[in-house]
This record gives sequence, structure tokens and C-alpha cells, in this order.
Amino acid sequence: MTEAPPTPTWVKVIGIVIIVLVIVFGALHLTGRGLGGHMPHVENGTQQP
Amino acid sequence: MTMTPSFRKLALTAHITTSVGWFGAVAAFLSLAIIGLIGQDELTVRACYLGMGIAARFVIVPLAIASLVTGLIQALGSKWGLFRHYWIVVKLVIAALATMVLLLHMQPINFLSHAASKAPLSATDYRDLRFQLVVNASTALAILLVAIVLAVYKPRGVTRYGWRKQQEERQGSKASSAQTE
Repeated sequence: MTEAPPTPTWVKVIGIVIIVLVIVFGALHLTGRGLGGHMPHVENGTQQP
Repeated sequence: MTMTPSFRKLALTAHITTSVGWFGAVAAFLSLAIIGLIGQDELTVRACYLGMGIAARFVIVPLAIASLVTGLIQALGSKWGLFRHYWIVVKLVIAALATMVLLLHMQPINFLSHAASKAPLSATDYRDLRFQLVVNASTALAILLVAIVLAVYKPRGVTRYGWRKQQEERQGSKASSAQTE
């Protein structure tokens, strides 16, 4: 039986891009800069600090 | 598990409609996010964030989930399989991650929509958050474009699992043809 074909280059490139995006997203989230970070409270139309 | 030809066409139509619809809805969301960020007119800016909240809740999230589900049905019910070809695996990862990130971002989207419904937003209000939505929507659009390109071009490349299945099928067909001879 022959060996399985190697992983195509395009898969490796897209895989690296996805991993980088996940790391950036995770880092931003952990440092509080992602997902809105510290969202101020809004009450009756006035923005609270 | 193989679908009948008519159900396969129905599933494919649903998958294309929801996937391309998702892309279009994110493009519209991005245009609103940009106008909301750089717009000078208070009413326009408020309208943008109100519209973004509604579009995200009632269009983008349902389309994202529908695209993911129809994609799974399409892959599992056809000869392509879910883990046989790299382009399908990559599309699955993209759709799953994009849906997850979208659901996580519903909080800031709803927040801005709520804030816009309560009072006018000045150019400096929630600047970081508004800029973040532009970046996120741009990234989502680029990623969804990659998924569409993969679906159209179907680049070659079978996974180890797909290759093993191909070998098994070839051996099975050889054995059955030998029996008939």
C-alpha cells in the first residue's frame, strides 16, 4: 500500500493564518481589549464612567 | 448516509443561500460600522448602531448558524464527507470559529445598539468599541470570502482519513469485480 499524500501547501498557509487570528483574538480578549473590554454602563441615556 | 438527488439539491441550495447571505449581511454590517465610526450626523450614527443590532440579531446570527448546519448536512449526506477533503475541513473550521466569535461579539453589538437607542453618540463615545466592530467585521468578511473561494474552487488534497477511505473503497471494488469474473 502506498503512503498517504502530503498536506498541501495551501492548507498549511490557511492553517497558520487561522492559528495567528485565534492567538491575536485570545490575546486581545485576555488583555481586556477585545469583545468591548471594559464596557461602560449606560443608564437613562447618560454614559457612566 | 447518502441523500436522494432532490434532497441533495435542496440542501445545496439552502447552504449556498445561507452562506452567501451571511457574507452579504456582514458586508452590510461593515458598511454601517464604518459610517457609525466616521459619520458626522448624529441621527445617522444612531441609526447605524440600531440597524447593526437588529441585523446582527435577526439576520447575521441565524444565517451563520443555518450555514453551519446546512454545510454539515451537505458534507455528511454526500460522497464528499466531512473529514475526507482538506477544503471541507478548512471550511468547517472557518464556519465554526466565525460563528463562535460572532456569538461572543453579540455583547458589544447589543451594548452599542442599546446605547444608541438611549442617547445620541458623539464622535468620541465608545470610540475603541466602534473601531473594534469595524476591524471584526472586516476580518469576518475576509474569512468568509476564503470559505466561498474554497467552495467554488475545491482545491485538491485529501486528508489521511480520506485517503484511507479511498484505499478501502478501491480494494472493495477490486474484490467485488474479481468475484464477478
